[in-house]
Amino acid sequence: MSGVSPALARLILVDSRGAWVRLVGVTAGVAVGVTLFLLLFGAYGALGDRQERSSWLSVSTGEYLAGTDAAVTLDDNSVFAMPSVDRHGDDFITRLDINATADSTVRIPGLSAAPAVGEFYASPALVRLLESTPAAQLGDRYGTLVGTLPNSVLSSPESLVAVTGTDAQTILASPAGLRTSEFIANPYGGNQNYLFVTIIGGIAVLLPVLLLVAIVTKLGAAERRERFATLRLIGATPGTVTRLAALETAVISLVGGLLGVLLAVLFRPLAAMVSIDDGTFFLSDLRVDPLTTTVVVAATTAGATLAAAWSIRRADIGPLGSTRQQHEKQPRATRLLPLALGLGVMTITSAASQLGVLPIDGGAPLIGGFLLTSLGLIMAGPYLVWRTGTFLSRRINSAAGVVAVNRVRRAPAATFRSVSGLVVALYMVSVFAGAASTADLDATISDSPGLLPVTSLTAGIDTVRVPEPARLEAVVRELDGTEGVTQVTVSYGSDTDDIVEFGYSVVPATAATALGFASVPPGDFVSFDAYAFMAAAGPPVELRPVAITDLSGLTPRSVYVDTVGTPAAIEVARTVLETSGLSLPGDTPGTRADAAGANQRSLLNSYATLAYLGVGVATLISAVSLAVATTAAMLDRKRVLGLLRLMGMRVATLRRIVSYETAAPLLVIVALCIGLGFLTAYLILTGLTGGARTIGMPEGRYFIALAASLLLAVVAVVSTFGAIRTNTAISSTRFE
Amino acid sequence: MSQNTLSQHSLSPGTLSTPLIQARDLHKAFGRTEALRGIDLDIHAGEVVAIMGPSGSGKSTLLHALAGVIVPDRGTVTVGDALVSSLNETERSDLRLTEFGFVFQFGQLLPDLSARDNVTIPLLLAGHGRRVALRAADTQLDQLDLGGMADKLPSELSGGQAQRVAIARALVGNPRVLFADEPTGSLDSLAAENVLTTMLELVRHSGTTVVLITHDPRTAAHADREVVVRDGRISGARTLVG
Repeated sequence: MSGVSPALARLILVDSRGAWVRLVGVTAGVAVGVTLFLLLFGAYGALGDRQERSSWLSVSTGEYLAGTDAAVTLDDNSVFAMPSVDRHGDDFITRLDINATADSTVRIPGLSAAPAVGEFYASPALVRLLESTPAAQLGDRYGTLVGTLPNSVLSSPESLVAVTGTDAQTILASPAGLRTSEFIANPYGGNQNYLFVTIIGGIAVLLPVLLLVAIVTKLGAAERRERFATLRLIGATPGTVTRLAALETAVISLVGGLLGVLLAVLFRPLAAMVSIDDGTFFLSDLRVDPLTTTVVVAATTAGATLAAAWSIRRADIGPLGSTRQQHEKQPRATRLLPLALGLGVMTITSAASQLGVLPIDGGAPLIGGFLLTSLGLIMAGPYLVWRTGTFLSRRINSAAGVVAVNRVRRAPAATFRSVSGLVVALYMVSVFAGAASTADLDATISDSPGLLPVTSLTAGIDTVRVPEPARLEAVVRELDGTEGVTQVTVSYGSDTDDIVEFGYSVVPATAATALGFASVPPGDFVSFDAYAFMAAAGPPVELRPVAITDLSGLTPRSVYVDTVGTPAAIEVARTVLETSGLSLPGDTPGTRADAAGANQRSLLNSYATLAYLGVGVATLISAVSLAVATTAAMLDRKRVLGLLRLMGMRVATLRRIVSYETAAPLLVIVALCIGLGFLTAYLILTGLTGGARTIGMPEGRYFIALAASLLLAVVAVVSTFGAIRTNTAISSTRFE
Repeated sequence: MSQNTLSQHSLSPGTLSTPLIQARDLHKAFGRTEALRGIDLDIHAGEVVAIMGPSGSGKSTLLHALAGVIVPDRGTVTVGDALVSSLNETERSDLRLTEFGFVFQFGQLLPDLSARDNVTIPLLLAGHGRRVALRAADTQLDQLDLGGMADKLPSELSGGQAQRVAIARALVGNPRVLFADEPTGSLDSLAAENVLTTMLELVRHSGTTVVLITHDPRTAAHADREVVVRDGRISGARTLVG
């Protein structure tokens, strides 16, 4: 077996006419793939890292002290700590109240010393928020700002964190209060949501990239085969040809991989701006260590090289050209099996989850089913394209139609390959649009009679350290005098059913209208279901008459503060309530919308935004793939299509051929992808929530994404029209 | 429907005194290479003319100029009433589609289409319905003894069979002129003789004019007249039959 000299390799691979287009194309494809992989890998690692980095704020070690008396003391080796979550508008603020001795040795991450009572440290994002917000709306909750927390102890640049110095009694009164001797970061235990998003992102972005590389390597394949056949004719062994092909791919992939590493570094600032869960990323979070980077480049190069060698071996190029049958085999219906299996796994998981008989966590089978469905779609594609071609072949009536449909029918895998990136992108965006549509079901909290008005907020009153009536009255007066507050109502309740049913709140009948009740029964006092009163939606809570003439025997339970409804008025009222000392420490006053769990929605929305971003990238890559594949398919038939032009076929007819070849499979499979995408979303949602959540109408941006994808496909095809005219020009084709 | 109804000839037939194809003072250069250097040629209706010459002599360029595939730098080509050399690209495409047929040496069949579908293409391009085109294609394939091969793909045909399918496609629209550039060049002598005989039988029967390029004297021997091109000029001509 003869070897491959550098001179021969250079002559055959580099100095050939047209080889450069191919080399540049493949290098760019591999570079884009490696770039996206490194960014995605970096982001996945960063999600865990930043969660671990900020986990000290949740104070997981120590002894809880609620209910203990004031005899509990501190020494220099321990501090009292109380983690809680405050809110300002739709933003959550992580708050850690600390009480430490003056000579405390307990190290608080990022700080040289614990804040004194009445002082606080804030994250840079909170500092900015405080600077742009009147103190009455936010700053008064924390005291005097004495310093800034460093990025090294924060989750993201947008993290809102306050470490506040608080008196010991306040912390000891809270169920969340504890005594601890250290603040440690918890090892990241994994997050199913992150894994899910990463896997979906991986498929959505990397699959189109792999397809792009596969398609680009086909560019000029016919001419390349001719070159190799000529080499075989003049004496090269099959091994030499295989090694030449492998060498070519190895060099290209290595250059592409290194370029990809460079591009990943360049695009890191852009990727860091993507917001997920806790916010955007610190640039350093997205770094991938040198070993992993090396492994990625080496694995890409090795994989591509082996694939190229295998492909050339399989093509069995002899001295007279490729001896292998050039036509594809007719795809079999068995190609539908992975798709059916994936859908089956998800359907069974969803059904079992809804029936409450799922013995395990549904996440793993749902992820598995989803992966199988995604890959199944790629597997099934050629079969579905072939079916479409066969169906259309009996119904078409034009020359362009006959040529296009027969191409689709005879080369279903090649035809599908050209649109497969778009197919994957559209499937993914449909899955996310379907999953995100569930958020819209309870996204709007609106005024409804019998539910707390949206302009009101409420705070629970500490039932252990019940405030003195005078203290309560003072707070009510302060609230009454606060700008933007229109009504303050204190509700009362009982731990027994003697006077009023347990769980029900009593208010004076005169206050009922301001609480949004339409129909008020006669009597001095009325009661209502306090829990149902805070529901996001549902039947109106009805007032019941209470047979009492005064509030003796009852204890104050909640304060309802109605405001003019502006964000400023709500935040001022929240600040007054928080600093009043009426509530349990750490118990944040909230509106009905706050209670409805807007955080869940924002989490889902941030994932959906990420998905649209991923799909945008995937669609762009896919559009490039489509343009390259369309050009490659045309170049491979350059001679024959040129002949057709010579026979009198107009360029417009040739354009129609190319358009039909793309449109036929795309339209059929797009419809399937959209349907499958929403079915997948439904099965995942119902499977994960036991049927508590289901899909709804997708949001507007889904339809925009859909239209943009199809528009890109059109642009991709139209962009090849110039090449069609040039490459089939009669003067450029010899027919002798 | 007879295949004769598939094409409506718009060109005047040409007579012995008025040739169907007239080339006058044709010049064509590709860069610095002058492929045609002043060619005058008349071809009458129904005539089979073989154009011979060594490689690079300009015979294929001459064929392309006569068929309106390329526009000469100087000189004129007239086919019937049409001054081909002054038509625009679209008009020349229409002329080629309706009046001319083409057969080449190899690589002319669409690989994804069956033999039958390949033959239907010119008719579909000319605006005929699929059913009409399929019927005409079957008739044409039968005349070339290819009835049993209609559903085969080009890769499943022998060289001779593929060439006969190409001839069927060239003739299915009943063209006025058949341009054949080394139509048997890729075949062995037996298959070449077979293909040529069949093709000429069909064209003589329909009265189709043939411009045949070859460098094989045995192929040229089937023509009515032989024209020799050398260095872009006609260096000789002789009548072979009549």
